[in-house]
Amino acid sequence: MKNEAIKLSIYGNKRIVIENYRRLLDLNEELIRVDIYTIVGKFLKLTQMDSFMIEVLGAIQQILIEG
Amino acid sequence: MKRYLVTTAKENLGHLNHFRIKSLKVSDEKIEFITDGRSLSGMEKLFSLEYQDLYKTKCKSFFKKHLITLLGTLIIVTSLVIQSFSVRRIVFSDPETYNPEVLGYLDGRFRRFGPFAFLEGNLSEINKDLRSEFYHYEWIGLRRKGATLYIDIREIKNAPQEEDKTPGSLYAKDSGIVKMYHAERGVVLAQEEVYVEKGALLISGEIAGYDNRTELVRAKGWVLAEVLKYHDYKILKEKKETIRTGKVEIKKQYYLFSRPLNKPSTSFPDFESELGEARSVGFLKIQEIYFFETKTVKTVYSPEEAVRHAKSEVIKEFRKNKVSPHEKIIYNKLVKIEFDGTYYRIRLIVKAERNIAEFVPFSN
Repeated sequence: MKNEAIKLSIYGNKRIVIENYRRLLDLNEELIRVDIYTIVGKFLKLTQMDSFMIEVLGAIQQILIEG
Repeated sequence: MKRYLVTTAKENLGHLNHFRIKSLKVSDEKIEFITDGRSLSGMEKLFSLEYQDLYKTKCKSFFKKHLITLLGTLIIVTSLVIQSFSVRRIVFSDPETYNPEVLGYLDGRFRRFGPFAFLEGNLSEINKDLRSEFYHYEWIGLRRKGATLYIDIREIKNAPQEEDKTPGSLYAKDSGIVKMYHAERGVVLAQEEVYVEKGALLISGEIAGYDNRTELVRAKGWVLAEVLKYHDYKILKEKKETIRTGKVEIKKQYYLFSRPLNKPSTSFPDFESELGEARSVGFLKIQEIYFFETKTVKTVYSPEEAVRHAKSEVIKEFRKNKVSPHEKIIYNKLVKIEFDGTYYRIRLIVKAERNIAEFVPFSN
C-alpha cells in the first residue's frame, strides 16, 4: 500500500479525500499540508484519518502541489 | 468500540500519521481528536497525551444535564408502580355482607411497607384460598379497581322454613355465662352475666294471662353464652380417597331391540361412569355414557396437620350452628394429642360465645 501513488480527490470545493498519504505535515483552519499537497481555504477541518486516507472538509480555495 | 477524546501538544502532529482519528482540531498549542482504543495504545508509546473515555464523559454530562428530569421520571414511575400494585382500601361490594373474619383473613395476606400494603401472591390464588376458607358462602371473590380491593360475597339464602307451631320452651343445651339474648316470642328467664346450667329454662313458652290462665306458645329466640367446652376428635393418620380429576369422556352406546351393538370404552385407566341422556329412533336406542377419570389420593396427616384439621372441624361446626352475627370463637386451643399407630386422638378446649338455646316441646 505504501508503494501506491498518492491520490487526491476533491468534491465540490468542500471535501477533499487524500488516499495513500505518507505524512501529515501541518494543520490549521486556513492550511493543511499533506505530503506534496497544501490545501488552502477557510474553516478547514480534518474530519477523518486512518492508515490509508485523510478527509478534509471546509471552504477550499486552492490546492498547491510542490514540484 | 470505545472511543477516546485525546489532547496532546501540537508538536506531536507528525506522530499521528496512519492512526485512526476523527474530528481533529488544532488550537494555539494543543491538538484534540477522537480515536479508538487500539490507536490510543499505539500513540501512548510514541508521545505523552491526555485522554477521556467519551462514553463515560457523555454519560456524566447527560446525567448532570438531565438529573432533575431523571429523578422526576423515576419518582413518577415508582408512584405509578406503587399505585397499581398497592391496596389502599378494602370495600365490601354489598355492605350487608360485611364480615370482620374476612378482613382478618385478608390482613394476613398483605405485606406492608409504611403506608403501603401489597397483596402477597396473585389474586386468583388468594380467591381460591378465600373460597376454601369461607366455604359457607355461595360465592366469595376479590377484585381490584385501582388501589381499592372489592370483596364480593353472595350468601346462601334458603327459602324461609314454614314455622312450626308446636308449643314449647327454649332450654340451655350447654352450661355457660349468658352474654346476650334475643326473644321474639315467650317469657325471658335468662339474665345477662348470669351462669346457667345445662338444661336450665331460658325462654319459656308458657305465658300467664290476666285471668290466671296460661297460654302455651312456641318460644322463639336465641341466648348467647360464653361456653367453655372440650372437643375430642379421632383422626385417621393415613386416608385414601378416590376423587374425580375433572376429565370427562362422553361415549355413545347403541341398542337394537334392547340388545347392545357396541361396548363403549374409555382411555382413562381409572374411572367412574354415569348414564346420560337416552334417545330412541324406532328400534334403535342411543344411550350416552359419561366416563369420569378418577385417581386415588392418599392423605397422610402430620400431628400439626391433624390438629389443624381438628380445629377447622370446630370452626365448621360453629359456623353451621351460628344464628347471630354476635357469635364468636374466643379461643380454640390444643389440650393434648395422642397417637396409637393408626389414629390421632386430639382434645381441644374451645371458648366461644354461642347460642345455647335449644327448643324442647311441652310434654302433654
